[in-house]
Amino acid sequence: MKSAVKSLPDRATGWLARAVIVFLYVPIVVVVVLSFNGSDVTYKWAGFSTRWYGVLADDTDLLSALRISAEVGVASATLATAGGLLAAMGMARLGRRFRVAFSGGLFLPLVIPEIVLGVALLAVFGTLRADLGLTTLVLGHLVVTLPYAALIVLGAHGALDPALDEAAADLGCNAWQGFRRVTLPLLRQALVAAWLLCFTISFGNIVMSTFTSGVGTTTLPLRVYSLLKGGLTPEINALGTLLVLFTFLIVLGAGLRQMRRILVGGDRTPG
Amino acid sequence: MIVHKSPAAPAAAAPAVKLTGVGKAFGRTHAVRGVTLDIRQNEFFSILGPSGCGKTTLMRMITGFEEPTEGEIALGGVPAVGVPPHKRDLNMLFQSYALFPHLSVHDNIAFELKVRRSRPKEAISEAVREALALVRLEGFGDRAVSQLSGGQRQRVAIARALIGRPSLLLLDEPLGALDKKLRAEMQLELKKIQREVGVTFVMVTHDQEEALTMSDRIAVMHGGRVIQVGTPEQIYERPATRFVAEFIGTSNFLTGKADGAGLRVEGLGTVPLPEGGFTGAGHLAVRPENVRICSGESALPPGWAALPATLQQVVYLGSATRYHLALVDGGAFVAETHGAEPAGLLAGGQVWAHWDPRASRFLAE
Repeated sequence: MKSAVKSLPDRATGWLARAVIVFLYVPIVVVVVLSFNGSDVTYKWAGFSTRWYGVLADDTDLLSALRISAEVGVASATLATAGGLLAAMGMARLGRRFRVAFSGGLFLPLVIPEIVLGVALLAVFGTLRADLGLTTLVLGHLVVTLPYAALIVLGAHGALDPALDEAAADLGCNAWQGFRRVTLPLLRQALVAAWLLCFTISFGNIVMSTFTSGVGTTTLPLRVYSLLKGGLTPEINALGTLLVLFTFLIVLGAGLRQMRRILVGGDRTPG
Repeated sequence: MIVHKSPAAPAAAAPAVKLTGVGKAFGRTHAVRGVTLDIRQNEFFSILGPSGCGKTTLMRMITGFEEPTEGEIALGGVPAVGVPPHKRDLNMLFQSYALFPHLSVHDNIAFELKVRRSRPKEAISEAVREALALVRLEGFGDRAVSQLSGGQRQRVAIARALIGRPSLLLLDEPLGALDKKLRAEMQLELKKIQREVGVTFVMVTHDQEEALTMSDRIAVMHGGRVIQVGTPEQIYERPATRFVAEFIGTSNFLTGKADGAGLRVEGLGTVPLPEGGFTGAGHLAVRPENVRICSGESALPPGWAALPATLQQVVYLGSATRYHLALVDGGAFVAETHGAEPAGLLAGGQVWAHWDPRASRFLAE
């Protein structure tokens, strides 16, 4: 029988859970509210206004940084996800000993401080006399994101029944058809998750970008960071609000699809 | 719909599978060695053996998932070594069923026809309907695989494997994942489907009862080799080696040296053999159901083999009664009788275990 009166520890954990959510979302709520601040400074409320959205729309510097970040994010997330997929499929064909060594090598960058990677990469680019720009920026972000993508895709690929591959071959698929008709659709969710995570990591990255961006390829986080010196205006809040809105829409879209799948009954987990 | 593919004239006489000296080594371990075997068209053939005997490797070489390191494989008279799995005229029923979780029942079954583009769209739906009818799953086409029970999944896997009308279906431990009652049902059902579609079935199993009930012929494997090939009756009644006699059913064994007088067993004396002409060391195998017991020597039928023993335990099995005996040399012996228990037999008592020598089998060492 369920007791209606909850014990103190029960109530305490309940409140703690709520507190965690509040802690996570307070900054976001603050950003959204302050983006409608009419004041010239972020910390003083001077009535409701949408003027900073107007300022943002005319701020070519900030918008071009946003574009650079989006481009680098899309490029590095796509490359990282493709690399993760190839790594997963390649590793499934390796012997056990190679597999352990290979996965160790793949995940090691996760535990190396990013600043070390950044310094190292800058040295490599310097030796190669490569001009810092979009390419170096994407490569730098790739070093950071690829292990995450590989981690996600490897996990999903490892959970697949190896007999599925064989069943595809048995039913007439050559290697490419088996990949397209069986492996790829079964990994789709993992690939989407890996891509989104990599994009997010790339989009918010500041350490690696510091080392690998060149003149004219300042990313959004670098630009915002540099604005700190001149003082932040609510324009940054307006930008933040738009980004939150954008993320929210993506999550909502993905979530709705998930929801539909559960309701329609097309559960994809085997077994 | 599923009619046996009429093979080209010369292939009609060729065995469905012909293995000649087939072997497979993984590094230094030989999983399969020197297997020579003909599997006939339209027969239900079983490859039976304990785990690790090489039966799965042998099957995977027939499907093309593994290539033999020696020997030749011909499918329907056509050499198959080097031909990739998707180009072989056979299908496999996977132990895990390997149904595609992202596809509906209909799309799983239609998979091969869609990949091979061998038929127009309308014909595919019709073929799927008929395949579903074959496995008695009419109306299940729209279900997701995850909504099916284990038995239903297996039926879908069978329909999927047979829709392309292969000449050969390989079944990898097909009933292992089912519960006992369902298993008995599927045994009969698989046999029925095989007769209906007229496809050669090759089943790999470690379950001797399954192999005995379903197969036309059985190959018993041990240590990578085929030990004996024969009908279930031949395998059971006339096992070729002690291993076969032990693995198929249960047997009592007496070990000794054969000469003109019989088998001389140390500590037990001389036991008559089923026929003369045996010499040298060997085992006499006696099935428990062929052993009778009685309490007095006077009741022994003339000409039968008889050994004095102590009755240790009587186990009532419902349809039979099993007697656990200890021979005078301490060896265990088992007798099983159907019907009424002989009167006056108590655990601890002295009895005679006896059998018709013709029902025993001598296996040379």
